[in-house]
Amino acid sequence: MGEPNQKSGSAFRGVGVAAALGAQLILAIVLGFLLGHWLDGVFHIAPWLTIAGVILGIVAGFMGLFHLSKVLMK
Amino acid sequence: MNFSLTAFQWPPFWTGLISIGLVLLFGLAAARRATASVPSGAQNMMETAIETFQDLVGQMAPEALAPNLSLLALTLFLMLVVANILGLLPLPWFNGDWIHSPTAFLSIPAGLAAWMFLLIQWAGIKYKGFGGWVYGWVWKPFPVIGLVINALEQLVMPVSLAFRLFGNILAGELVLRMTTHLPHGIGGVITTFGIGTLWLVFSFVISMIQALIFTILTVAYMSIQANKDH
Amino acid sequence: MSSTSLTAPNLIAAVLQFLLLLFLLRAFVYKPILAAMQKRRDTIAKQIHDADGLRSEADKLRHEAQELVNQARDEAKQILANARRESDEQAKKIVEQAQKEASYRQKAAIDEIEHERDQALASIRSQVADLVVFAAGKVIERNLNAEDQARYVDEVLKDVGQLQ
Repeated sequence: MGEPNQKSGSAFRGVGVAAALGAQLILAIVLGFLLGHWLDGVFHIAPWLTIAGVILGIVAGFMGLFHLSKVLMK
Repeated sequence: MNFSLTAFQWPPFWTGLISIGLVLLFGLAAARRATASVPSGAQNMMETAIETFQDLVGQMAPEALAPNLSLLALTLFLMLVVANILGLLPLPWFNGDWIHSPTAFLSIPAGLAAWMFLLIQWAGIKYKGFGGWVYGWVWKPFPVIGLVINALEQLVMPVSLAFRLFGNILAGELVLRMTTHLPHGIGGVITTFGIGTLWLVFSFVISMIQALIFTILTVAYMSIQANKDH
Repeated sequence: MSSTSLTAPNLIAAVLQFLLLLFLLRAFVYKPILAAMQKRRDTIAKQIHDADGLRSEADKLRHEAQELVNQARDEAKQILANARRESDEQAKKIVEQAQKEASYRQKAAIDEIEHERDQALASIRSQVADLVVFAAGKVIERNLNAEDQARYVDEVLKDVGQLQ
């Protein structure tokens, strides 16, 4: 079913990938930074948790993109 | 940006109601005298939309989830398209301002994104089992680090959904209003008219694209959670 | 409160509005349209199925018709062959009969001619005999005895017989 729309469906998903690429990566890093910064304030061990948060944010951002592209480019 | 548990903003509530009312009117026009023979224009459009979303969702989501998810996605898309475009129409609002899109208020995209986040987690529990869902959050050899990474990854989804939609629609409306504050005089009229028209067309396109992106990413996030091989 | 504020009641209201729209669309729009689409698919599938059935039936009928035509052609050929053979036979028979009749008639005619000739000869012979006897009698009436007369007649008759 839906054979005639095969192409448009793929094109729409391409839009999704393009939209998600930048914002999601940056947002993951920002969220990681905010989380680490907040925990630094709680435990008073700045800047270690902030750095850890940014690194985990980068990892999470790339993992999110990986998972997303796996579904969107299937 | 501030947060309130009790305050209520009426404009996005009313414009939201208008949006779903318009979608419903179109839907009823399409479904009225729904026929199995040659469909009318509205029914044809709705059938094409349904088939497009069935196809789109079917490419991503597991088979059992696809039929319901495609209808949910179509509903979300239709509502967001109307809601996004509403703020571009030259309709006056009660307080002397022009009408705003409900999606130009952060609460509305955020509420929808939060709801989609819950649905995404529900899909994870349903299709991976509760144990599989929990394991999906802490799968790393270092459970705490894994939990942080997964929490960030999962949180990014609704937050980026909400801010992307809100930001695009609000920006579209603000710039459209700014075009009316261009310099006066003959040159001002021309630039106002030219730039305003250009921006209006651009915003129309952006409105539809953002509705589509919000919908597709929601379906994609849900599919990521629901796919067993993850 | 501004457009960047997060207000909890609005979050919930937005979700409720969406759920309301989803419920209404499902009940009054998607359901009848999906039903119509399904029905159309079923109808088309059934029509294709029917068409397949009709086509196979038509194929069968054409096959049968072809067979009938072939049969009729064979029969016609046979009938024609029979007729030709019969007519040949009949023609031969007619010719034979005609020949037979012709030969019969010829024979009859010959017989008749011979018979007539014999009759004519016999009549001529008797008349000649009479004439000879008469003439001879006249010539030698007195000086011929009975014995000489008979011998003379026989000689004459023999000569006449050689005339044949």
